[in-house]
Amino acid sequence: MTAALAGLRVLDASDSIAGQFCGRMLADFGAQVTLVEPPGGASVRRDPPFHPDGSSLRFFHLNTGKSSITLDQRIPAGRVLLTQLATGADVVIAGAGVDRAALRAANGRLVTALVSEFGEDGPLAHWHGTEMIQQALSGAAHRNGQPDQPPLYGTGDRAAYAAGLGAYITILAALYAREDSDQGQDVAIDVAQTTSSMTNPFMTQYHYSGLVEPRGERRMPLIRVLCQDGWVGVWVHLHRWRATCAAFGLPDLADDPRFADPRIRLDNWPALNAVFQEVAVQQRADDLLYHLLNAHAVAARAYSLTELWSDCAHLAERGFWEQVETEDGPRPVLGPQFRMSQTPRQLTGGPPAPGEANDRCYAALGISMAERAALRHAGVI
Amino acid sequence: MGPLSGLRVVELTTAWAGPMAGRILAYLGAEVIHVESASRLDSWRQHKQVFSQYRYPRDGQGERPWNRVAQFNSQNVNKLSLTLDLKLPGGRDVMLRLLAKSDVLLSNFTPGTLPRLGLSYDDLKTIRPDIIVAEMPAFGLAGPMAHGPAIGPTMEMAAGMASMIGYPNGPPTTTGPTYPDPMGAFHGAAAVLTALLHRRRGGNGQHVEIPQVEAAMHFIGEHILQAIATGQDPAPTGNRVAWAAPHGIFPSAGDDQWIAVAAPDDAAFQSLCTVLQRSDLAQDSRFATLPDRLLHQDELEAAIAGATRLHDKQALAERLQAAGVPAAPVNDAAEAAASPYLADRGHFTDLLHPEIGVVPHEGLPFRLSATPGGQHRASPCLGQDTEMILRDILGLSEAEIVRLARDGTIAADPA
Repeated sequence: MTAALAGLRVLDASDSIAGQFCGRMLADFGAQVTLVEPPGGASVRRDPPFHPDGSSLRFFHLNTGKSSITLDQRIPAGRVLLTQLATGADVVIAGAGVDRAALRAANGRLVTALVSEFGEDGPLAHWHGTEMIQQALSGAAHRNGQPDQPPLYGTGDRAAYAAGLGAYITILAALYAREDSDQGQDVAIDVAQTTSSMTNPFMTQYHYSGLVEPRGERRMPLIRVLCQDGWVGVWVHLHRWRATCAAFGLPDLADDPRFADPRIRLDNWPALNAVFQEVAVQQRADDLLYHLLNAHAVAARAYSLTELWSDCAHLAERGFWEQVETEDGPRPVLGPQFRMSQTPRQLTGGPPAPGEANDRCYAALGISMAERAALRHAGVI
Repeated sequence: MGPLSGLRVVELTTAWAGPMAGRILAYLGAEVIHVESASRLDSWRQHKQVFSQYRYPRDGQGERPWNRVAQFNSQNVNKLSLTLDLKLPGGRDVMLRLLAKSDVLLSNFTPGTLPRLGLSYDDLKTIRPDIIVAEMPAFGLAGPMAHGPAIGPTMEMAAGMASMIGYPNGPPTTTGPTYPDPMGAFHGAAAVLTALLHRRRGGNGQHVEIPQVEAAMHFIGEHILQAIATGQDPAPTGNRVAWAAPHGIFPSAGDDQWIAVAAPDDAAFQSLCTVLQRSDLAQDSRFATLPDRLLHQDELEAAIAGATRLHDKQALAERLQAAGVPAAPVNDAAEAAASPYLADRGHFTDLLHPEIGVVPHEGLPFRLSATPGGQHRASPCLGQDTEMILRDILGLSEAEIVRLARDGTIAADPA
């Protein structure tokens, strides 16, 4: 089977979670993606979390399937090399500060993608973003956590990942347009605007009603119970109320005056959760989960990360976990984000060593071995 | 002209993730038809839900609340609405005629629904060989949990994310904005675009499965890989992280106002102390290095909170950012909507909705210099475009349309 993006050549010069996640997706679906790193290696190589062997698992996750060349974008000779490389590329992913006009002048069919926290222009161009900063600014954190405690930002770097996924969408749209126009273009995505786009439509609600919902966790009909061996969550849809009570083995609870009327049920939510908790503590999480799912209730286990790996029969049965070969032997990787019947994801190998493709790529530009040695000596590559 | 102009997408979606995926394609120029059932409305039309004053215009729900709710109207911009009862033979016939003229069918129904409706990929490729059918089931099309319905918070749990979020020693916590839904939307749009680009470059149509929970797991992929490698789970720690201290959300001046502040390295911590005029903290040996600060977080956070509560969150965030310290006000929806940054990006577009009037609509973050997307039409009222689609796209006669109306196939009044 061919891959969906076979034949496309991508330079990933972003050195950010968002940019590298975009590059990883392009590689997964068949593009030939080359990570462009500074001579000392991409900064993401030094980011936590780490494997017990000391290597960065973030770098591994974001760069599996890519090759790597090194060049120093900060010095003119490095920028010349990047421009030369771009003449043979379809896409360049870059962070702020890259002269994208120069790249496109050298290759009119090139799609350049600026992937950054706040962009190169606009009122926040000089701001520093982290996940917490983006979630606070966007209005999302305002709705996380309890009203009597500080807001919570969430976890991980999901805003940056979302921007990387958004960059993938934007780049593919530009490549689609290129099929008609035969012209590339400049595209851009900010983590900040992406984060705003991914909150619940609270801003639209405000524009409609002039009202802002109070801070803290929304009054969601979400039950959380701790079973013998793990957490289970249930979203109690109005039309699944009786089914949910029955699945807990408490059919009569549906008519309990504290809970029967959906308008007052939410007011008594802690009491309801406590009733369900008494049942749950005597059960195994999977037993309760399948009772609920079979009753068409909206339910899930709140898996810990190790449980996903070792205790989730669903993922195992779907063949979700895969492996890639690396220098250190096979390593587990997550399954594909989407399964394409004709052009499935292709895993080609683990993450690259810094500059492992230097000789091949620079030789292809007509740079001799002696010239490469000189560039290396001068710290350009 | 959006990059996807000329493409037609038919949606069988409801709530947030599916409609938002279609909205992305519509933003990028595709013609997207939201096929709706009048007997079972898109849940984000909020029919028969507990009333929420936050979700309707100031003058109330009106006679047709399903057309006036912010939830639906935020996610169906640029689309057409076709009401169709797919369980009636005439409804399925119209659907097949429409899909024969379409490039993509996008569905977020539970697994098995499309085959039951006679709309599986195998059914459809016989009438449209190059069609792309994209299904977005929460847990995938097969597997022990596949039949389970899901919603953003339960997806956040199933993806392992909720276990990482919460106050110390607290239960697994889901985010209020239910983040996995837009993740699923982005993944859905990405999958459709991947298939479309492949087709445009000489490939065939195909079926694409987007298991939203598995896709979302990539957003915490490195943490999952670490748990696998070490056998250790990350525990909820509120806003604390291992790579920065302080890293928290602190009170600021005013009632229930907050500011997020992070000091990823010693230089940022020194700058933070300077801006807060707390040289005593900068010189305190308990806080000298990141390991020191991680060891004394309780004292550190109390001291920072004592200082931040004297300052306006916006002004302090600007001063901290100027000094190289990551910081931001915790904005509510009104403050976020007033953001000069979003205004500069053209994030909001004023659109005229037939039953509401002119309202600013939230946009999307995709910026393309040559083929920009955009928002040109407010979300449709229920069935607003049914007759146009039947007449102009499918070429049905007036008599045929009347017949479909008479037997309820294209009814637009909710049951």
